[in-house]
Amino acid sequence: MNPVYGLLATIARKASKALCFLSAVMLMMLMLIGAVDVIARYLLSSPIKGSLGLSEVLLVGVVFFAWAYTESVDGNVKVEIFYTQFRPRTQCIAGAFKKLIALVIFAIMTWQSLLKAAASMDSKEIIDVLDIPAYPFQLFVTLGVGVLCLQLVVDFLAFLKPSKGG
Amino acid sequence: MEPVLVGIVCLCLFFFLIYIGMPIGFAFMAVGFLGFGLVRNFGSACYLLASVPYTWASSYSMVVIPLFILMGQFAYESHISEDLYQVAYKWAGSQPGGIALATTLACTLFAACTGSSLASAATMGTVAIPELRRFRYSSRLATGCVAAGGTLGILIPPSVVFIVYGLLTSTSIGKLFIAGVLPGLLVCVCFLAYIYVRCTLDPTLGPRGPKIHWPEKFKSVVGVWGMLTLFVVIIGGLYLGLFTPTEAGAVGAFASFVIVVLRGRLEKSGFISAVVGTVRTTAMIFTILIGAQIFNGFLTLSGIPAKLASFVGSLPVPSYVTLIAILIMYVPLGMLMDGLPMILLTLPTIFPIVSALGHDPIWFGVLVCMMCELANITPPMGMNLYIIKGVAGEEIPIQEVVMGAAPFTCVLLACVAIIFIFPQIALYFPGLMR
Repeated sequence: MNPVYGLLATIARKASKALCFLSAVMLMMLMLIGAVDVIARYLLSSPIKGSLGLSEVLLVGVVFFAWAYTESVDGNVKVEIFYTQFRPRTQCIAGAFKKLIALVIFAIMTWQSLLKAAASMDSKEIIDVLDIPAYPFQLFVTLGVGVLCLQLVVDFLAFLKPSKGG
Repeated sequence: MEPVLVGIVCLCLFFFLIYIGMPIGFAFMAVGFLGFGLVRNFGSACYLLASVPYTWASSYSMVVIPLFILMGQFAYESHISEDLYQVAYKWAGSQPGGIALATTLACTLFAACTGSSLASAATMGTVAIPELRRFRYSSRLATGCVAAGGTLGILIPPSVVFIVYGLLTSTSIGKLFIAGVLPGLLVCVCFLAYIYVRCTLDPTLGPRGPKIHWPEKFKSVVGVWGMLTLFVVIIGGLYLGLFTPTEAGAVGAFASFVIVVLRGRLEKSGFISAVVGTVRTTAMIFTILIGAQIFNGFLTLSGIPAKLASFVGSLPVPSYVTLIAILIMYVPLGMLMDGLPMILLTLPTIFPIVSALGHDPIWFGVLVCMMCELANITPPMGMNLYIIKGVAGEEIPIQEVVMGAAPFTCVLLACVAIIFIFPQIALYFPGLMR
């Protein structure tokens, strides 16, 4: 199990960091587009065409590309006061249980978002003003949540490891 | 099974998942999905799980969230807190309890640059606690004033809690920001008055700092004029209707970036840290927001909020009594969870009741925001307490921090009462807006 676990952990770490980098780049683009749009509108009376639609799709990347990284650094808000009082074995069981539940939910979300993107591609859905297909941006959700699933698998396996060693 | 019964069982399951330490956003999603599936069907629940994330993350009104967080992160990474502290120290340091007064003032100024209570407490704690120790301040007063001062970050605009409240209740974010200014200043003045009186009565708690001459006082302002001007421009722009909140966020983030770069205050590592910190916080907030939407979809379907609203509405008590009961409910809830998940959990059920009772949503938003402030300094889960404990080090036990924050908690509760009795304090500026 160890080599497989090691490989999965490495892939999850690299994938979440790579997506986080993309998220950061999109955040800077979001800021620049917003600021330039305001400056162009008030000083030149000519706003950037499609800036609103572009901001919306960039936000999708900012949010979902950072999901796996945020989970990998334990960055989600939780109430830990009770959990930390549990005995180590109970902590391990509770930890594995909650990771498994999260994994099931996000696996369904990944699959459903993929179906949604496929439906969007079939119906040739486009983003207003920009006139570009919407499905690539819907795939941002699939990709981001898919990598989060991988991270959750790694975390789940990590909870199982100590019990094997006793 | 009756939808209301499913709702109650699922709420119990939700609290169980929270109890075992599941991230709140994940628990929202899991229970919302299960409950929706049980009440309607799992096909619809799958559709909900597919549509809500993309819909919420591709909404233009949501763009405001990362932009204001980024603005605060640039301020945080550029160490502007040190400059702000120096200004406050030079202007107020020679008064009784002067260093604690300066810390509270600096927290207020820093709150105008960032929307996060935790960032304010962590930043100002790092700068102020060594100074408070150097002047032999009581450890309770030292840690209490920083923990409490840090909470101003979520009341004085820009505030992430106001943004989320506005998005959830379709209340104008610009008006909420403006509404937070006077209550924020009121809390600051009350904190200052408490410190001044305590240190005047017992000078050993907080001795005076050295006297600073006027030229030096004015010179200290030079370092912070850029960020404070930016705050005035953003809030002024919102007040005058020149900017939408999203535009204000974009301009604020970009201008703060330019200011800190021009002043040579942002290193490469600080820049990376600011951007990564922003995407992390954004992802965390959206996890809770998306989860709360899925959960609320189920909750509405179960009929619990409607039944609760009609029950509360039929109670033979004045509407203000109901509102007081709602605000009191936030006190124990705030002891268990952070402000943001607390309002996301309660607003979908509480807000329809408050609206039905005819209370002003902006006034209620300010009161809820103040209860979130309170949540950050009430044990055992007050995050600011742990942050200050972390900054203060091993010599100061957490009990000292908790005891230090306790009087400020009372002051904050008194401020909530003042805003409750005099809603005009919160509603005066929004009433003047176009």
